[in-house]
Order: sequence, then structure tokens, then C-alpha cells
Amino acid sequence: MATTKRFPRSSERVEPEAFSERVRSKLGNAAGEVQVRFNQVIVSAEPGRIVDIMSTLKGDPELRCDYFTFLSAVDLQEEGLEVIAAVSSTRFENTVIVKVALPSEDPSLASVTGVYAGANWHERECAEMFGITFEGHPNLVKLYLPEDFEGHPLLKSFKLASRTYKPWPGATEPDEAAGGGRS
Amino acid sequence: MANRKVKTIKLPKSVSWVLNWSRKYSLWMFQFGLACCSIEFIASAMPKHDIMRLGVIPFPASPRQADLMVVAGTVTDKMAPAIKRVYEQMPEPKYVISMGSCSNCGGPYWDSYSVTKGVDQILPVDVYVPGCPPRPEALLYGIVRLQQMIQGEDITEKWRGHDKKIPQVIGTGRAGGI
Amino acid sequence: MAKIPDELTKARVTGAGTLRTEEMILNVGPQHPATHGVLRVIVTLDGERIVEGEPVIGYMHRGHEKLLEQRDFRQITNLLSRMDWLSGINNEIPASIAVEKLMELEVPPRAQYLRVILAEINRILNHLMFTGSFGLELGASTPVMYAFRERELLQEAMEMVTGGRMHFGFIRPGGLKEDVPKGFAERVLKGIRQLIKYIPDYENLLLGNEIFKQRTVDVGILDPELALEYGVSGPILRGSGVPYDVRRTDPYLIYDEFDFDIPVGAKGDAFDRFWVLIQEMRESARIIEQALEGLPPGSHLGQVPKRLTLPEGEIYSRAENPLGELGYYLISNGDAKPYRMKIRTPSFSNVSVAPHLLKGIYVPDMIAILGSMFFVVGDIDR
Repeated sequence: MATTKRFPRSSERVEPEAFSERVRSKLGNAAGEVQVRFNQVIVSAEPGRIVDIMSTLKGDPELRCDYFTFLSAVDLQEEGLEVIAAVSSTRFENTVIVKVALPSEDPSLASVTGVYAGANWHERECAEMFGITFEGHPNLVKLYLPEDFEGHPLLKSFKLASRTYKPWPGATEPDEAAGGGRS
Repeated sequence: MANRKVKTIKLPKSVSWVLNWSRKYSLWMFQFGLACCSIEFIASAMPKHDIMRLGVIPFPASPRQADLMVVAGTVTDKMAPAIKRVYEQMPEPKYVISMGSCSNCGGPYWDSYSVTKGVDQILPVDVYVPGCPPRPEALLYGIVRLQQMIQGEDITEKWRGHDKKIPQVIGTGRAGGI
Repeated sequence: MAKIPDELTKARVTGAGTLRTEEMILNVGPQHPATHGVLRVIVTLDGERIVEGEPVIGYMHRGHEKLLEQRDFRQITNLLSRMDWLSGINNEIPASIAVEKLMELEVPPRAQYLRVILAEINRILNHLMFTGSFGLELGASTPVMYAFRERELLQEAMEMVTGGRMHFGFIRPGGLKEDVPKGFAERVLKGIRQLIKYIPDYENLLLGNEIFKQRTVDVGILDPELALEYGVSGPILRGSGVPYDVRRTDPYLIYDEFDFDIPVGAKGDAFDRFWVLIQEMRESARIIEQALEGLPPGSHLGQVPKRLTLPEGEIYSRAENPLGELGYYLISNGDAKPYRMKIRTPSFSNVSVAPHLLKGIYVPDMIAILGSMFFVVGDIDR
């Protein structure tokens, strides 16, 4: 029967610091540095271990990260690309963010769709926006853009044509604006 | 037969007036609800603003029954061919209202890589309604302006060469099998 | 029309091959009267049954994430409120929270309370829209008229504060743009009292309607584990019985100070999802009443420098949007603009589970299922 109840916070909730210890011990040498930032556990990982790490995060009874939050990337220019994947545990009320560094040239990573089926669209988006190949992905085609669109928009090297053609004509800083502005 | 010219006649002023008068108060309006503006469009069709009191009938089932298309929202390059296709399905005489900044000129997405900077690049637009999104009142005013325009129209002029005004699709969008 | 067992989804050919059925591919959308917004679904049909349904998205992709990198921290809220156009304030709040946490800005209590009030009004506005549109999609055109009656009242209260009807641009890092005008509390109370008075009407019109039940009960059952694996959140996840609400599990603003309940469904079908949606309006109204009662005096804006320059750092900031968990992964390199801002939108994850629900159902059920996924296309495509 459908109900409306108070549903307090989970009784099995673990403080982020304690959860990061669990993550560190469970992942062992698969993960690099494990730290806590703004109450979230950040794990840096080698590209080759991503599937192992995600399987452990999901399957281990003391981690149980059952909720797939998101997967994306960032272009760090000289330092290559970085893939960011976030999963949460609804039972222990914690979020783990896994970061994987990739080279800018021909980046590729094993797909985690086998572990989290929900990664499907996230990886497609990531492939389209950054040009990352996800090996083992069932259907790695464009998600948003027309088929003949060229380029990967979220790379820093992708310049917006409108901006290049004509820069913004008005004031861009609060000090330049003539009146009206409030501090 | 091939050389036979179609005779163009000039309608008497009174006939033209009655024709236009009846046309302007029976506009079937097809809504191309794309983004935020479509919510304000729905608001304008709801009891408070009640667009029907202007003689506009919203939400026909198909563009083939419509006289007026309101493009309400951001037109993307991927969407553009579908909009043009729907426009082509409408019977003549037909009118287009571009509602909101995005469909007027790109609006807040003026620098986006995927947004068509104005629906007038693919369709001839009769009335532009500014705003982001325009209030329902603004859309109603746009419709009144369109009705004024229809009242002053020469219907034979309208029929001749209307299609020539349609711009060509530009941009990269392609909408697959639609 | 109940869920069909898997073994029946392949048509049985009877009558010695005289009744051969072939698979047909049907394209629905991107402009279709029965789907709200420009979602396109390609369905493979076997007779009247859907063998496979695959949503095609991207018709409203406007490149928010790239555009945010070109705008500074004062400007991004205006773009973000246009992303999910039914919940402007809710979109702006986590972005401001991210900036505040990185800059260690103090937000005055009055601003916190007002943010909660505005966010909950916006949640009601959003839910009212879906109450109306879901009915409309199933062929009931009255509920939308009623829903807009209440919507206009609350929208006037929002307009009174922010000046906008949909895109408010009102949340600033450090607080709010302005304080609320006189008479705001009375106006909001009038709006929500009327809403509470008429919610039983919606329930009678839709939830108690036999036709509505026929279309929604046992249709599109979403398994809670599958939902979690896809990152489904909001009323859709709660409809499947998982009491996951960011306001409770990871409290932001001052949500932990208020007393509110979480409605959850039992079966996870379209009916339960819609039931949760309606009940959530009641809970939002409760929060608003408490917040108005406890609204402290004081400033609406903390100490904020004229030029917002963030220190280097990264943060994932999330909030419970009307449609689910909205998160911003903000990376700052010490500039006045975000270096990268990943937007994790609820509708994107919610719709990505649709292929599972569209398997083996009848075509009319597709409309009921997509309608009960409560998505905003701008929120899927960004």
C-alpha cells in the first residue's frame, strides 16, 4: 500500500570519514588516493581498474553503492582528460566520486555499462562531448547532436563560432557597467 | 494548354474585407511547443487568459488543419528540419508567429553551437513576440497584431508566390526519417 | 491494460501461417500531440505490441555545459533557470550553494528560509503542471484547467517577489536578489490554502476515476533496483517504494529543520508515481507554512564581493528538484568563470530507463508510461 511516512535518515548511515576508510580497505591497491571533500569520498583510479572498482563499489556488502549518479569528464588541456563517475549508497547515505585520468590523444576507457546499466546514456554523452571511446559499450552513437556534426563541443579546443565572429559588445565586468548595478 | 495564363482578378474591396474578416477570427493555431515558451502558451490557452476569445482555436490534431503556427521555444539545428516539414504540411494561406527570444534570434543561446539563431532562417515569420518567455498577454497582443495584418491583406497577393519567400534550411541539422 | 508476460510479447502465429505478423517500425515525435515536449520515440511494433522502444533525444540540446564556461558566476543562474523550465528556483539553488561552499560565504538565515519557501512554491508549480498534463495525455482535459487555476495564483506570488513568471534569476551567491515585498506571506498562504482545498478535487477527478485507473494501474511497473541502477530519482523512484529524497538524505539549506513526510508508492506503476506527485504538493505546502511561520527578520544577502572569483577547487552540489536529484559538479580554476560545470539532471536519468518500461506493452500504454515519467525535455537534453 502506498504510504506517506516520515522516513528518517537511514539508521545505517556512516560518516563520510568512516566510509572513506571502508572504501580504502575494500578497494585495496585498485584505487590510488582516497580522500574526503565536502562530505563526499573522492577516489582516484588507474584507467585499467575502472570496472573492478565499480563492481566492488556496487557489489561489496559494506559499500553497496546501488545508485548511479552520473558519469562525465573534464578537459584539463595539458594534463589530458579526466573521467568523473559518481555513485551513491542509499543504505549508507554516502557518495563516492571516482576519477580516472586519460591522455588527450585517442582516449579510451572500459565501459561500466556491464556494472551499472544506467551508465549507457552517460557514456554516450561523454563520447560525443569529449571523443572518449568506451570499449564494450553496446551502442556508442551520438546522443544529442545531428549525425553530421563535427567536433567534440566540451573540449577546450572547440571554440564557439558566434563568440569568435563577434565578441560581446557590452560591458563584461561589474565595474564597467554604467549605473544600475548593485554591489 | 501549357501556355494558357491563369487570369488574375482583383477582388472587390467589400468581398475582400468580408473574407479577411472571417478568416482572422477563425484561426486554427498549431502549437510547435518546443521549450519554456510552450508553458506560457498553454497558460494563454487556459481559462485565465483564454485565447479562444480572440477567435483562435488552439491545439488542432494535425498541422493539415491549421492556419497559424506558433513556434514557441528554442529551435535547434536538429529540430529545424522537422519544423520546416510541419510548416510545409499546413495548407495555404498560413501564418507563423515566432514566440520568444530563442525563436526570434537565438536569445540567451546566441553563442550556442547547436541552436538555430532564429526560426526566420527556415520559415517566413509574420509576427515576432519578444520576451523570455513572453507573458501570455504578450502572445495575445501578437495575435491581435496578426489579425490586423490579415484584415488589411489582399488575398490574391497572399496566394501568389508565398512559397518563394521561404528561406532555405541552413545549418547542419538532419532529423532522420521524419 | 495490464502488463503482458514476456512469453506473450512475441506474436504466436496461429491458423497455419495465414495470419503472419511482421514487425513494423513506428516513429513517434519529435512533435506529437501526446508527448509533452519534443521527445522522439522509435518503437518496433508487433501488431499492437511494442517489441522495443528507444527514445531519441537531443532535439532540445542547447549546449548549457559549454555556455556556462563562457559566463561568470553572476550570469550562470540566468542560464540555469532555463534548463528545466518548470523549476527555475530549484535549478538556481544548488549552483549558488556550490559557489558559496567553495568561497565559504555565509548565507543569512532569512535568505535560507526564503529560498526554501520559493523552492517549495516552485515544486508545487511544477507538480501542478504535470497533474494537468498527465490527465491531458490520457484524454482528460478538465484537470489541466483546474491545475492552472491554482498555478496562476501561486505564480502571481512568485511574480510579486521576483518579477518573473518562469525564469526568476533570483537566487544569488550569498542570498537572494531582493527581500520579499509586503503582503507576500498572505498571498502565498492564500495560494496554498486554495491548493489544499482543491487537492481532493484532483484526487477525485483522476486518482478516483475508473478510466484513469484502467489506464495506469499495473502499467509501467518500475523495479526499484533497476531504477537505482539507472539513477532514477524524484517522484518516479519514490513511486517504486524507495524513500530517497535529497532533502532528507543529504540535507541542504535548512531542510532538516522542517517536519515533512515522504510519500512512497507500493507497486511502482504509473498510478503510484502520479499518486506520489499529488501527495508531494501537500508536503510542500506543509514546509511552506512552517517556513513562513519561522521566517526570521534580517538581511536577505550576506557579505558578497562585487567580483566573484572562486578559489581553485571542485565540488558536487546537489538538491532535490521537483523531478529528482539535480547536481552540479563544479570545477573552478580560480577564474571568474566555471572551468567546467557538469549538470546531472533528473530527467536525463529518469528517461534513460524508459526502454525497459516500453518492452512488451500496448501502444496506448506507451503514452501513460511516458506521461508518468514526468520529464522536461530541456532537463533531458540541457
